[in-house]
Amino acid sequence: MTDSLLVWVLLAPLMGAVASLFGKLIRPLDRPLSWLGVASLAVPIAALVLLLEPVISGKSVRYALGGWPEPYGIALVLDGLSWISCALTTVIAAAVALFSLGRRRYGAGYFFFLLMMVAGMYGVALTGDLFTMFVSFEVVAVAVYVLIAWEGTATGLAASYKYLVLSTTGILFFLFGVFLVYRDLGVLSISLISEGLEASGGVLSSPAMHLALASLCVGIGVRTAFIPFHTWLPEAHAYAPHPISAVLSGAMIKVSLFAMIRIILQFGGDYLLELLMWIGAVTALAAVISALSQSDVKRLLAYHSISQLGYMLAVFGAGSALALTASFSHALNHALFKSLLFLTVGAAVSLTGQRNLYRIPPLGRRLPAFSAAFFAGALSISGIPPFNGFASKGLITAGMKGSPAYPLLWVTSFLTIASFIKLGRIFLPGEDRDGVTAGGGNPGALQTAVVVALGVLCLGTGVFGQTMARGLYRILHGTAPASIPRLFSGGKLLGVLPAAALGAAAYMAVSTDIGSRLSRRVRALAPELRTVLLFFFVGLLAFAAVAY
Amino acid sequence: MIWALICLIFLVGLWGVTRKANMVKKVMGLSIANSGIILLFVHYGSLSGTTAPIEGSGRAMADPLPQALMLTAIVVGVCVMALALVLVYRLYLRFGTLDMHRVELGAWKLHD
Amino acid sequence: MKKTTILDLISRKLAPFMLLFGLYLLTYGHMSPGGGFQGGVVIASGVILLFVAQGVEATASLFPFRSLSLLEAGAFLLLVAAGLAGLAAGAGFLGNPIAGVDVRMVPRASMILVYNVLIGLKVGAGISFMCMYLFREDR
Repeated sequence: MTDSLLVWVLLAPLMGAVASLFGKLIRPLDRPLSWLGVASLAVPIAALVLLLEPVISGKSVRYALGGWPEPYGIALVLDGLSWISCALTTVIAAAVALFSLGRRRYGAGYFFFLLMMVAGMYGVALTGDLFTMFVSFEVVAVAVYVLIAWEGTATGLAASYKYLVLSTTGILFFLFGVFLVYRDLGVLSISLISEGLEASGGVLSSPAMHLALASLCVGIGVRTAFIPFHTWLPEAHAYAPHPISAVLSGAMIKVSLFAMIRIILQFGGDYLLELLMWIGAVTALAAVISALSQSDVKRLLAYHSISQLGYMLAVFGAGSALALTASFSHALNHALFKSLLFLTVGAAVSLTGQRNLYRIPPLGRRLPAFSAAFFAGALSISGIPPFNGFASKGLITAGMKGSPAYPLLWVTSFLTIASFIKLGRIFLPGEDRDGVTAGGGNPGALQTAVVVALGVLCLGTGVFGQTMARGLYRILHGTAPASIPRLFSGGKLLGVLPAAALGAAAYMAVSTDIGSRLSRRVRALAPELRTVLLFFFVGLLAFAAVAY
Repeated sequence: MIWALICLIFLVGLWGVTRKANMVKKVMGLSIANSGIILLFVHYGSLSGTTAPIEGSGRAMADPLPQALMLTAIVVGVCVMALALVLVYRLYLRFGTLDMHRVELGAWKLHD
Repeated sequence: MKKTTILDLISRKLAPFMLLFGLYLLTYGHMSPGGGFQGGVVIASGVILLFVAQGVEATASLFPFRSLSLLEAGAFLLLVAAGLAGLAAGAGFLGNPIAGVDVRMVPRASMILVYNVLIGLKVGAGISFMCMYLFREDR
């Protein structure tokens, strides 16, 4: 019974996508079938809740498609890591889908691609072998290319094309890695990889195997957008439609990160952890510097996505069980507050028609619920208690105790505060000028409800941060944690104050004349597509050579 | 020997993606590199034999798994290439040029 | 596209054979090289030959846009339904629902045939629709 529940997680969005496709073709049924498609997301929610019980007790649920046993057939595997991945996808996708239903802006075709993307993300999370992971990645990717370019704007098309070229090149490297794994181990099944490697002496014993791991990581690394593969992200997330930016930043990059984590754990690639820690820390700092210098609101948020992803990667590189929990905790919290930020800021952009944050008039009085939700998200990402960012950053600090890369993350955190002080000006209460509206119109009730719900979740997961951390540890490792450091201790709470003060100081520094000239210089540094591909090979070499 | 040829195909494809400025040629490069990877798998599958993998063929059978995988990979590649070409077409309609640098400059001017 | 005599004649004579070959690949895919996707793409190339040579309006009278898109969506629906049939028959999603059936009535491998035909129809309809749509805008 539990076994077939697993296939319904994957099947429901697929059927919802079929329904939406018919909604697109049969014009009068457009709206009802879009609703039906979104309603299909209720099935994975129910299934995941029911499947939590075996996962928490440490067992993994397996389902063989078509009844064919493991090495011959495709199996779906649900263990702790994939449960978290699916849960994250479900929450964010449901929020974004409900948000998109409001105000009648998007037709059934949009929901078709959204549901296919969700089905693909479940595929990435649940798959038991490498090749199905490739197929699922590509399903997600094709849906994302279409969705980024959905509004047909020139910038959206260009961003989608750049992402396409970069991402397809990456997946070719992934396929090369799959080839090497098949050649040496004879199996593609992820869980059998660790057994096969133990038999042959470990990853480092054969150059083919650690070239395979390097290729696999580079391939997924493009989707996950850490340096040096991150250059597609600012444009893709900035020029996509607003709900799509939310689901991309919130769910897609995390799902790829989790897939990479799973592969590294299966391969036993401990030698990569230090490299990842440094890459993560450098990514976090470099991205937040770029973010602070942006004036386009969505690009600012997109750079922050890269920066926070750097946090997740860096703490994963620290290696301990607590560090893994910290990484996942931050991923979940980031999904919540980043999608919240994109949705609220996106509403501001639609309402005023402006993307430049100096030109958006203060909307605090006009959109009170959205402003409150925005501040919830901004306080979360800045790590202010009692929101969830504080809890997960506390976990990250504990996980990275004593590591040399930690100062970079600390600098990043107060620069994050600075840039959100900078962004916050658009939601301050100000006089309600009349010439404000462009095409948007005020957001509807459904959208407000979604945004408020996300804000409440940010607060809730923060206040219950200790419990969440314990629960995550249990799901990931199958046993209760020995001890989790107290997240809301007095010392930690006080530690927020100097960070906030430094953040305010940094903000003032950037607002000065010299600051804005520097900002313009930093903005102009964004590399073109050609140099980006060179970064690609550098990254591959770095991953491959790091063992020596 | 064949491995070297396949490697050459893959590198030619990647070179096309990196060094060519024309967007259509970039897509062609991706397609060539894709073919390179597909050939890699199929050639490896043929190493264990070259007859059709049906029960009772008797002699050395080709490995069926890489063939099946590569069919999927070809399908995925076709879809992605088709989508890429549609994007290139729409960008051409919008910017009037197929040169990636001019398109990037045009897009840059639009947002900053 | 300038209509020359050679193109006109050859396309009209050749296209039906291409469609036929595509259908052959579909239906014999489980025994000889071919299968759903391959047959579908050959069917699509038959249609593409027709509209490249004859023009989209003429081809659209044979393969209307509406029918192609409905065929594609319908085949998708039937594909998911076929997978669900396996689930309902207890063989798992995408399993063979007729695995327990008496062999003399229906060969058990005919499920592969069903999948091949559905995939072929979907792919053929989808790719022809896509190419016709793109070609149509070229005025």
